[in-house]
Amino acid sequence: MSLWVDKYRPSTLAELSHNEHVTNILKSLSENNPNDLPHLLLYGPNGSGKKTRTMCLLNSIFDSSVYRLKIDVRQFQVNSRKLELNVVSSPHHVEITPSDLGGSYDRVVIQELLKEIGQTEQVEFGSNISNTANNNSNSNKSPRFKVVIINDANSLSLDAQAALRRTMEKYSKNIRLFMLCDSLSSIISPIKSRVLLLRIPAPTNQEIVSILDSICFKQQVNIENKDNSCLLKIASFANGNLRLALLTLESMAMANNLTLKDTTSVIRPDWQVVLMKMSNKIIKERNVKCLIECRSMLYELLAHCIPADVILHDLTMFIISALANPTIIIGVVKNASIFDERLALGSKVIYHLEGFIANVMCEMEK
Amino acid sequence: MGLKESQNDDMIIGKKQQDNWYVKYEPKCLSQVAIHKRKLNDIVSEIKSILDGKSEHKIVLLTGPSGCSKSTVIKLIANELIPEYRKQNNNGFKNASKDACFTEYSTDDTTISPLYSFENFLESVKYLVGPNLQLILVEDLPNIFYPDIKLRFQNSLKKWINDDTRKNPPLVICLTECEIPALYDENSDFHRFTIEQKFISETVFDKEILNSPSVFRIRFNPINKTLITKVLKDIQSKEKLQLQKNDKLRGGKPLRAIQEIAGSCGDIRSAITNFQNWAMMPPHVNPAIHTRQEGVSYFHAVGKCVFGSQHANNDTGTMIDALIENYVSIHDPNLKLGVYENYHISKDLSISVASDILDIIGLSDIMGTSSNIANDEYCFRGVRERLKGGVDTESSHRKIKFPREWKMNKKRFSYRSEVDDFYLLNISKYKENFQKRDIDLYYSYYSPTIRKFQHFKKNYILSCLKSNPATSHNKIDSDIVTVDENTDYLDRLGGKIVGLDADSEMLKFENKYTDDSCMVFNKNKIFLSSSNFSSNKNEISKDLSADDDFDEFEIDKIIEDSDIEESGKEKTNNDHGIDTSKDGDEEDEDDYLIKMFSQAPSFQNDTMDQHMNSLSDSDIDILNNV
Repeated sequence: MSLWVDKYRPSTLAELSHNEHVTNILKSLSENNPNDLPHLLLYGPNGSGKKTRTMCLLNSIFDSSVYRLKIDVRQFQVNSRKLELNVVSSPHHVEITPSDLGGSYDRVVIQELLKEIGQTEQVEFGSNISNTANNNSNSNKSPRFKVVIINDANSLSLDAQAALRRTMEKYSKNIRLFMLCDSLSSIISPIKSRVLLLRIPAPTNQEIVSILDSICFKQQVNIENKDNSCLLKIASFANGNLRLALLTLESMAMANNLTLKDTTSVIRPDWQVVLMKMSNKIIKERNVKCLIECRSMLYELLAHCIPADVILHDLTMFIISALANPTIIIGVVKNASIFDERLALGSKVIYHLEGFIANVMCEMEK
Repeated sequence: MGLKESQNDDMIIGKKQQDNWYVKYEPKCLSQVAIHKRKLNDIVSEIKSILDGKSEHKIVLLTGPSGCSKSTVIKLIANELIPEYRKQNNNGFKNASKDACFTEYSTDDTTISPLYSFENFLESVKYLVGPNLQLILVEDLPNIFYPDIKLRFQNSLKKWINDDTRKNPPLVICLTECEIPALYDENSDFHRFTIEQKFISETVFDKEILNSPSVFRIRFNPINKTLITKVLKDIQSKEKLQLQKNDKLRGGKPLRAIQEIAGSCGDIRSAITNFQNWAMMPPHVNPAIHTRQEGVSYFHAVGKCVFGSQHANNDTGTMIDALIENYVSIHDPNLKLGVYENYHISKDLSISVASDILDIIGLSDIMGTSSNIANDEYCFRGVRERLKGGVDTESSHRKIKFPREWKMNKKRFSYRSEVDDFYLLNISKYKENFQKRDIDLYYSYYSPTIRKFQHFKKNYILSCLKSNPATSHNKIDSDIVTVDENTDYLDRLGGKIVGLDADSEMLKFENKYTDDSCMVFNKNKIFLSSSNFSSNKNEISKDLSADDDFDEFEIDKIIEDSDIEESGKEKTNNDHGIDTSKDGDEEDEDDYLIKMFSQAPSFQNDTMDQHMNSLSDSDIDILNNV
């Protein structure tokens, strides 16, 4: 069976557990005439349930066949270069993650794909409607469009976003776009004005604890101490990321034979452990030898595709949390912001990560 | 310049009957070859011992830059040695001594597909032994820039090495090594250290061939100044007539020219041509001497930047000027990486200097694309300036390392392939559609961790059921039933996070990650995604992740893993689990087993039994411990 994080994923709007007000908006969207459905842009932190909510909404607009996924590898020809993209689709929707492509090819791919879907009218639904009439309250106006989910929309290049904005208008009869992203900052305003923006906040720690608690009950995980301090520990570690919380819970439960105690230690992802160790080392040693050792770990993290900005962010956080002197903390944060910009501008991230560490060491030497 | 050249052409046409000097004065015997005596002896004795059958070497590999007498030496050796050995083996039927002493592989024959030509050649020369003995010489390589041909080329060499059935004639491969200036191309980012850029033995042959005991490698160096001078003087004395005619003998001119030519490069062919050119010129023209440009090799260039020059006074400016002028391609993004990788080795740096250097490298990285020469210059000059001053004596022995970047990229690529596979597995088996970013950050660690525990538990329960079917059990969680060591990833994707170190040697990459296997990965992907992957899944994931092979050792490791934190408590927990199991529902057991085997048709029953047998031992141990 799947992991708990998927096993207990809600599949209908009614099952959604946290952030009632968003759920209510989605419910009302699904009850309206489906052809009035606007393009949607859901934004919120990682692990707050954007995708889950989208799928629930689709489920209520269409039917449960949206969970019948199939995967195709689509090939695109971009000036003599062949690109491959995994396209996950159901009878009613198509899901793409343009960031998988990397580089500046996303424009071509998005355009091609949307054009293809947009030019085909969803005729078959018209005939199906009589069968599924009882599912939809207003069967005459059944959805005549296909939904395209764009994951990770903030990684779309400006080029692609500009192309998207035209496509959205041109094919709006046949296509609805649901875009999901972590932050709105890199979405251009023409797109923002053409969609319904929905902010999905992260669940609070208390909400996470109650979700974890219900799953523990279903999975027969024993929790010693009924005050849930262990679950609270997981929730505060996950910091609003429900996915991370559930994965941590399951691995902890598995490692400790389905019994959780207050003393059970939280299982962090290994790369975070590596970064924690690294930050301790940086604070303690502050010399070139340590810098060179850090380099080999940085390379290894990059080889495991941990994004450089995540490395920089977490490293900064770990270092700050271990420091007491406010002036040094200011220096560290200042350096982090400088090198964060350089990460975005440069081509080899390793220079800047090591540069950050060296500068932080200098800052502490002062 | 154009004028000079046209005059030059006229002169040569006028004396057409005359050969090029490097052909005319080609050495006629071994003693004339411009090569170090000791090196020559090495080669001769090696070939002799192979011919005598005393040496286990089957292939002699001669490597070096162009114009350092590799082929001349080997051809002369063949001419001197082969007839003797033929005589020894000749039983009087044939006077073979007039046959050529060596056979050379050539790519001229267009009737054979280039794919097979090398194989066919090796096949056909196998019989050139005994009275027909010849030296097999390979100078011209098949077009190994195509991966297929390269693979076949390497395989046929391996076949030659491993062929123990009969005594093959000695195979000599001459490889002229060169670095080809890299055109900066963002898209080809990931195979940096390839045959396209560095045509050297490490890229032409693979590790297996280079490290094979049957291969004997001799490295040639550029010819030193003394030897070139000697050869040129020799020619000068023989060509007095020509020189006189062009009025070149006055005022010690030839000597000066010889010195200049000999000092400019270690390529004897180029040196002779230049000397001839100089000699042919009419008296009033005194052409500049353009020998083959001696490019600075990669490591040399990095070393210059990191260590500086021996002469303290021309430390920074002029030296970097020379470096930028001479390095084959200053745009090579590897060069900056090389400086970055090695900046710390010349001396003990303080952290502030290190951060200055990193600042410089970082700034030059964000200055624009790599094709912009200014940012590279900024980087080299800046780093050199910061490192100015003495070099620690011991540190000069530290080796310069090739940047880790390409190694990281290979590792990253293989990780990506694993992620792709993992992604498809989850979609097909668990109907879950993950995002790549989430896989990178969370699933790549958590999913194998959880599955590993589930897998252990499953085996444990299975073995208990088997050894003692009557015992009742803890209620089995349906989650663990579907875990299958053949398909599921039980180890962290991309391997555990341990440091990624630079190698002092360039050649230390795992064969697993070579280009060919990358292609295999891709094929799997296409193959997988084409259709019903669940049925193909087993065999694919087997060869994709050999690590998934589960054995007793692994099980022990898991036990350790699970015991790491609170081993004592862990055991009592186990105990507890079994105790409570007594009142578990007994009917379910059979159902579970049936379900287990019906749900997982991929289990071959006998191998599964084997697994359970091997497992039960270790499990019994645990039980005993408990």
